[in-house]
Amino acid sequence: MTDRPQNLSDILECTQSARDWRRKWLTDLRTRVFERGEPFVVADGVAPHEIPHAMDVPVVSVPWYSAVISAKRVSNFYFDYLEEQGYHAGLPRYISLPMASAMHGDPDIAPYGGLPRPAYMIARLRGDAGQRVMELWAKALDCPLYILDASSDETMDPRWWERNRYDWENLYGSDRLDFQVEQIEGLIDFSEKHLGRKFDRKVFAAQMTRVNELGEAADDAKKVLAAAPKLPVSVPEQLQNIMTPTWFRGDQWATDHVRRYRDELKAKVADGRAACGNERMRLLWLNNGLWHDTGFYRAFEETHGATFVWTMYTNFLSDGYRKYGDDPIRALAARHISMNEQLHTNPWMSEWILQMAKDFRADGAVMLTPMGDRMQAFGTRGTKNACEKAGLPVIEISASMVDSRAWNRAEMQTKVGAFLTDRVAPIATARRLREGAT
Amino acid sequence: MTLMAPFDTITSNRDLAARTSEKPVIGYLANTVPHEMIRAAGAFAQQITGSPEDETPDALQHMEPFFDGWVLSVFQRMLDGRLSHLSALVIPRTSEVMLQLYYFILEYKRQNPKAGFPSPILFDILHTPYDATARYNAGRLARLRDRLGQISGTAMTQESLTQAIDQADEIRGLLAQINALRTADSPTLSGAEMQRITLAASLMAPDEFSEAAKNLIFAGGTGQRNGPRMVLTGSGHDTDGFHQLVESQGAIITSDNHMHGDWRFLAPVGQGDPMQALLTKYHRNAPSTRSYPRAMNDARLIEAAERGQAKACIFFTEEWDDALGFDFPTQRDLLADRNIPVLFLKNQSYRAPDRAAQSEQIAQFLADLSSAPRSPIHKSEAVQ
Repeated sequence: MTDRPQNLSDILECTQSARDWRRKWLTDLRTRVFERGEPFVVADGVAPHEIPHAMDVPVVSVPWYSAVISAKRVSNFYFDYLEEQGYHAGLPRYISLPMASAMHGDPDIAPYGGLPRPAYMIARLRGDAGQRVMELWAKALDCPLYILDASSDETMDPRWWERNRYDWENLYGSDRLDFQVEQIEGLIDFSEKHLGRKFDRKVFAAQMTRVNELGEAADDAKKVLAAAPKLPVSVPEQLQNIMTPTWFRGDQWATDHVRRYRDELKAKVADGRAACGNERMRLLWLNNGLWHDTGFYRAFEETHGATFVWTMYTNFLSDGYRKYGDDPIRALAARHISMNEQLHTNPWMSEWILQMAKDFRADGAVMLTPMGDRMQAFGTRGTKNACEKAGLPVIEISASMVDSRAWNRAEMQTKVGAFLTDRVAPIATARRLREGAT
Repeated sequence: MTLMAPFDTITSNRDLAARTSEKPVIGYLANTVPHEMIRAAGAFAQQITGSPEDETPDALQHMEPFFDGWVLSVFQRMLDGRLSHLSALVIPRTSEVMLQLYYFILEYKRQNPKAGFPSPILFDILHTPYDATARYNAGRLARLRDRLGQISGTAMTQESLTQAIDQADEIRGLLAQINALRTADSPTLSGAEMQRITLAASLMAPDEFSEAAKNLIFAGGTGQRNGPRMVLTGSGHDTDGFHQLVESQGAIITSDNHMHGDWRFLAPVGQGDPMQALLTKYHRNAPSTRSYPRAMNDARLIEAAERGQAKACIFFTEEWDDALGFDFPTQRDLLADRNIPVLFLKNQSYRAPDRAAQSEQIAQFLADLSSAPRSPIHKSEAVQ
């Protein structure tokens, strides 16, 4: 592997290493899948990738491929194509881009020439749209689809992250876990059939242990970030170091990488390094990422001394993924069984965010309310209300995660800038006084 | 009293029968809750629907504006006390917005413990057609039975369940007979009337509905109807406003393929062990937004078109639809194969539908229908 030069904006050396790993993975994927015809799997973001991973089969996640299409700037082409086919403009964007790419089928337009036919696809039926998208996509690629139905929590004990790692049997309920285990066992049988490989439970158990170790390192990193007098690395750089290991959880590289990330963070904090030297206001970025304009995360550093210190990706890897227990399959069942609700449904969403606001000493928050993906947005108003009630001002911006057609950066910058000046600055000043800063 | 009066009285005042009942009232949403269980528990079963007439300012303090209009309406009615006559509200996990409504009620109660809300009960019914799902659903059904028994104070027995199932199936049978009046070669009932009758069946005491239904069947309907026959599909209609608009232009809606339409009476629960019969009915034979695989939805639409001898289809989706629109292109093509053109009315407001625009599009669609040649249509021409 030939590493590329470090980006000038990077503070950590490991950041480029994460990029290089991703690039190498993509090269390997293309060699193994596109050239040699080895099997690969397409899966929802909150599906058990761990099963094909344990069988040494690469997984392409829907959100990742959607982000790739967006980054290659062909998303608008595909959205127009979908509308021409009769899919109305209000349908979810994030999850339908890869389907559109498969339906259109022109390799000259699709990133990397388009995905070849996977061995199978995995869908977990959360919203009403996802099951349709995955089914239509599987049909377009003429490949088998494995469905995991999604049972629902009835009680929503607010502080889920405190019970989620060890007490998950009681938190989620045995009936739901039994059902999820049955579905995962079905996925194992399905995988063995369609991959022609044997699922090794010892390999899988070791993988689950590594995911927990990965989560522990991510938790350490979060604590370093939260406790630092000034944030050592920007949110985009956090994302580089956390998102790739999340998709490759269970791989030894992922665990090693986040440990390295944690150690470099500690060193930078000890050196007094700050992503924004002029840091005066500390912000949370609430809800999904703005994938078509990640530069927006840093747009207020020079003008307002405002830096985003946390996103849900900063430590969901530690709070959401870790599961300890004697039965690895049941632990895996517990991992995904309520993942979406933790991030997007109240009180789980709001209570976790309030805790993060305390941990990260936040002065305010910017909330993305995704346009055209309402399932990701059902918790936004309640979370905003809860934050405001707790004294954390929130500005809500409405935008698509992947569709840039309606995004007006200048307008949003003005709007958020005014919010920072009017509402966040006084709170930040009071905090800095409390902390003894000037 | 006209034949429609008993149905119209209740659909214009939907809480009337429930509020005058001496039994505890348990509300439920949609067509996937086993309301038979509510009656077997000695309670009055009332379907709770939204109302487009509701302003929803309180609901919008908590919910995002892109919730389905009917869900905002139900939540508003709960917040302002109009559902205070309910002892409980059973919410099926039949669409994402229904699940979210359950969570919003739960969260509101957590933050406002003194709020006098009916107890929300999630019926976590899943719709994938697998045996593992059936086993999970069986557990949910037993849990619902126990919860309802606790709330009403009357434990269900095999006998009470069987009796309630028989009663509900009789109502379904009556609805099917009434529906035959509009699907007949010469319809004697309008789509708007059928819509109101179907809703009334979920709001009235069964014996009162039964009497009114039998009178209507005996009379042979309300009068001859003519015009191009339509199947209406897509989002649910909890009033007959849209039906009236379509039929005022000379068409007749002869089948309703949606949550508040024919889905309510097509498949009886049937005989046998009552819990097993209810499981089969609500797991496999109760259509929902989450029915899987999609081919089931496609087949259901074609059956509806055939049942109503439809010559055209109106595919209607509400403003914030994020799922049904994915079915449209496939279903448009399936209908085109049968020479049935489609008017796609998308992005329709629940609270403030643009009736003038709808009217104009329907008029144009009907004009095109009357002038269209009878030769097979191309798929690209099948949609307006």
